[in-house]
Amino acid sequence: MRKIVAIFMLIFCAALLCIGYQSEWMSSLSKWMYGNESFLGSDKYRFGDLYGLSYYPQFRIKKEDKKLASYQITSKVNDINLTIIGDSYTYSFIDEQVQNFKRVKDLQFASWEERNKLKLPTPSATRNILLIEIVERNALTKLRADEFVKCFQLQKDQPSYKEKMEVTVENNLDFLLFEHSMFSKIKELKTSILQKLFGKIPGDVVLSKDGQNLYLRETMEGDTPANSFKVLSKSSYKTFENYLNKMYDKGKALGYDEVWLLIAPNPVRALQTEKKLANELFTYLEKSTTLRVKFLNILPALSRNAKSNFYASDSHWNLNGATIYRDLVNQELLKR
Amino acid sequence: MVFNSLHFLVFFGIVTSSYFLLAHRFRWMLLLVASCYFYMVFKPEYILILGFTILVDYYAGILIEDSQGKKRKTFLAASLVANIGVLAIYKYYFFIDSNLSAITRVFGQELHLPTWEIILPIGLSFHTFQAMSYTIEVFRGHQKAERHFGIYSLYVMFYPQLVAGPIERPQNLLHQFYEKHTWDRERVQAGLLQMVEGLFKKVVIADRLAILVDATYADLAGQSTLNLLLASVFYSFQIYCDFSGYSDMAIGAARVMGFNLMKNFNAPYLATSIPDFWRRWHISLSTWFKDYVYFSLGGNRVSVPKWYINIMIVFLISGIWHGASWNFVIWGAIHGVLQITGIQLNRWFPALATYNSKGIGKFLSQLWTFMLVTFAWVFFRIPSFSQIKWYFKSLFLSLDESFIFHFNTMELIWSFLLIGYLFLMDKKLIQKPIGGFWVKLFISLFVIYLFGVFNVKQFIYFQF
Repeated sequence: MRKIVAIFMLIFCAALLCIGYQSEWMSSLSKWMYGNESFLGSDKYRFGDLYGLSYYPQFRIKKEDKKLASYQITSKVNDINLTIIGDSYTYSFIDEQVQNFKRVKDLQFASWEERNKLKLPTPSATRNILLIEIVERNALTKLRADEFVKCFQLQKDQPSYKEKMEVTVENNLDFLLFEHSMFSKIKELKTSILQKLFGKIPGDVVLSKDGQNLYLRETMEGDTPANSFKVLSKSSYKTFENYLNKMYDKGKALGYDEVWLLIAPNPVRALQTEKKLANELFTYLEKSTTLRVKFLNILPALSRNAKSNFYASDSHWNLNGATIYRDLVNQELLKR
Repeated sequence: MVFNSLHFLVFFGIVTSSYFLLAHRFRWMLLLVASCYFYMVFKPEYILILGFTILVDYYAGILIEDSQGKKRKTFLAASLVANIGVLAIYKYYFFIDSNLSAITRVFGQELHLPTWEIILPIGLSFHTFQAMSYTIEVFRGHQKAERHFGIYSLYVMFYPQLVAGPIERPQNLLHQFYEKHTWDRERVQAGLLQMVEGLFKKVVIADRLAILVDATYADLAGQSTLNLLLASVFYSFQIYCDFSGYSDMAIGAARVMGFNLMKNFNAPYLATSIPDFWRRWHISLSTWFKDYVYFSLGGNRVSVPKWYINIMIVFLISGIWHGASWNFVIWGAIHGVLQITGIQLNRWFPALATYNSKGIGKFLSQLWTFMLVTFAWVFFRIPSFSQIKWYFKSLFLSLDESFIFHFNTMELIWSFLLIGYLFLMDKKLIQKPIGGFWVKLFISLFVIYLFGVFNVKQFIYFQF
């Protein structure tokens, strides 16, 4: 009997370790788990990514798992090639179909990690527009880095061996062992106990003052640029603007006729639940006369009836918010 | 990989189950391969350094045993030079370089060592010391040279104690690799419970205290007296739980397979004096220094001034062993001075020893010793002199400032409760959860899951 248990443990642990090292297997397995609603499936994103980080039981609210419906009627004139480098605020909500964007003849999406795979524009009569979409918590770091400016043909960022071994394998094993929905109740119990005892939610998640929303901690606290309330100096704004102008110059050099920027605000900024002033990043970019990038300020539109534009348990906007995003881009496209 | 990770849990499952499935004659191979994997997870190429020191010491041991007269000393010296040389290059290169440039700058010409990108191989200080103890013991005739290269390699690389001790002696460990360890349910259960206890100390106590400590020490200039005192006390417990937790996990992991590693901690904060503290803290290192440095210098069988010099030398070396930085040397020096002061006071006032051994005298001496050790830990924790200056400035000049808790009240109470629980455990006044093994295991794991901090924080002593 002991031998059988030992053999079982050996095979089980060895299988876990092998799968944990294989990013392709993990990718397939995670897709299956996210889509599966049985006890083996994963609740990590089904009820919002912030629920998945905190397992705060009051925020176990099922998310809509669909994208925006494409427009039925396409534009009469399709004279724009649109390239969007964006994140999950774009590709989780909008299909890569030209029907989603007015006057667009050719559309391509790329995530930040895959921007080197983009087809660059070739000289033609069609107008080429590059739209950079990025969430606020990443904007000041990713868009500041000189690497972005050099990056269009660079290889994909390779994690260092140490990072890969320690972080990826560890994360994969955590996923394999504990990311099943059968453990959700225990995780919720932990969160409830810690919240009652210490008034804090585990994980990098914070409850809003009105108790109706979850936010990522880094977007509300701390000394990083991700924090919407971090006071930024004039020189910080100017430095950021200089990087954006470099990005514009790079985009023009690559053949784009226009370079646009849309920053998806941190939900805490748009929802204004914290009774304190966020920094002036959006105002600065909108009013700047020296910024060469076309800044699409989505904040005013999102802030109107803000609660209807964001998920309570997710760091993203919802379909309403995504609609506002698409409408804003189309508004600009129609002006061209 | 660190012990408080799922990677280690899975690795431990594979190694332990394979160990008991394999015939005895193949087990050393399994453990050696597992130890190589364990080490290479950190940075694979550094196994070459480990390989080099293993080769040197393996042959040095044989040559010492097979030689006579001066040649024995030569081979011992070669082994020590190789090990200390590796330490000097990989651990002290930048320290030597910065001090060389500082000294030569005074004479008008700043000299530097060649520029070199080096990362400290993990566990270097531990396994070089363990290897040196082998060749010294062979030289002294207390240990026969190990002729089996694989077994000797395993002695140096045995994964439970490879990266942060306990620093074993060959007399204790080597023979165990030849012994057949059969399945013993009680021993396995005791080993697992010891691992869980170590994990509790690390993720529930140490990493939780680290939240306040790190927040306070990150901004010393803005801290109040109370915050600094609290952070200093919490750091004493953080480092104790972090290191003893690791040792418990190492000893427990070895125990599961039937290996007995030496005890590394014995309730150090219940010490009644600094010498007593060093008989209870990092026992494997303090006994190493005692047996190989202190006694070699003559110990206390010399004149009193020389005796005290010997003590200072040992503590200065101990300080520098902990880190390539002057704050560690100062930490060692403080302990040296305190040790000497304690000894001298006992010589002048022999009644002190009796007073400190029971009742209120014992309690006061324990409290006083804890305060001295906590004071010394400040120099251990703060890496630069400017920050140390800010610490003491804020400590003495912020008495009327309101204090800001980085914890809320409940977290503060919880932290004190954990420290109280630790004291009761150390004094063996509290039994672990009642019930059979499985009840104890699941209750402990559940408490760890509920209250542990799980961001895979590295162990403090890994940096040494």
